[in-house]
Amino acid sequence: MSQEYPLDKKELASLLVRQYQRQFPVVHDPYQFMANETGVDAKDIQSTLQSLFHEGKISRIGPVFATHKVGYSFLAAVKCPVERIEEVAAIINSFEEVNHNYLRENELNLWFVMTGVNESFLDLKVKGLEEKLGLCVFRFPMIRPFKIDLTLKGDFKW
Amino acid sequence: MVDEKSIIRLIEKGLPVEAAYPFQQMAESAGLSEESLLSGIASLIDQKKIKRFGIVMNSRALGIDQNAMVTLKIPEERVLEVGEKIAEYEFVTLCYQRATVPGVWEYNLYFMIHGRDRAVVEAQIAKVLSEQNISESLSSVLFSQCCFKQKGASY
Repeated sequence: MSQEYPLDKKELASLLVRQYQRQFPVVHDPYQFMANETGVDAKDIQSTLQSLFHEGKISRIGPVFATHKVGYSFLAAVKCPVERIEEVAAIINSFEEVNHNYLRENELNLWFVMTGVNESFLDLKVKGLEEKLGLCVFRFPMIRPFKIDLTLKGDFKW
Repeated sequence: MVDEKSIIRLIEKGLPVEAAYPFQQMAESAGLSEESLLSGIASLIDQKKIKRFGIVMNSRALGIDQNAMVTLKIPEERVLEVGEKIAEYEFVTLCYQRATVPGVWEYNLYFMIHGRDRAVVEAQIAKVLSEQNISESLSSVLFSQCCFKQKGASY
């Protein structure tokens, strides 16, 4: 498939995201591989992805792990007094094992995900975290996934 | 055969976007052959330990900043049926059953919607609850007010 008109950067970005959110070519020369599939010049593909990355619109190009199959992971939450939010969030974030941390509208207000090699390793981390916070960390491990593959669809507002 | 953990640790932060041959550069940085890295990734994908290998968007930077976590109390014998139904809605981005903490948080089924407009997301939540006959009193909706951290898993 070749493009009759050169795509502008936003169109190219949308095309790349639609096509390669789920399956980026894991091959020696991925940019040439995508060029062959899309008819867009390999250099334009790479430079578009680079600039989206530098603008922070792409977080990374890489794996999204099934955290219930690799290592161990759980959602956790604390009831944080409003006046301690910034301090407590910063302590939670200082743990390398924390990969998401959101303030939410509830008495249980800081919700975060911890991921690590196994459960006993994370047990120790949670104990350490609870000591630093002086708060109880409640854990909600996943029991059964129904839909876990978050990809974004539709028109992107670049 | 290179061990899985080394491959996982090598790729978890993503590809070096400046490199012309990103897999080759990653492999060399760890003293591996490119072939063993490529086959190691393929094997993790085959085993479904990698859900997807691709472009990971920063949804907040794209204006998708209304993220609602909806938690429900569903009787154990109905969780499977209701979870599967909720997962079918296109606007539902994530859905899973989680352990509860008795006396603290007794909601067992979670789903998430990521959107641009709170009113739209609220209407989508209402649609799911009414179509699935879930009483509002058995649900709790937690919109995110602020994101303190969002990164990929590290092992």
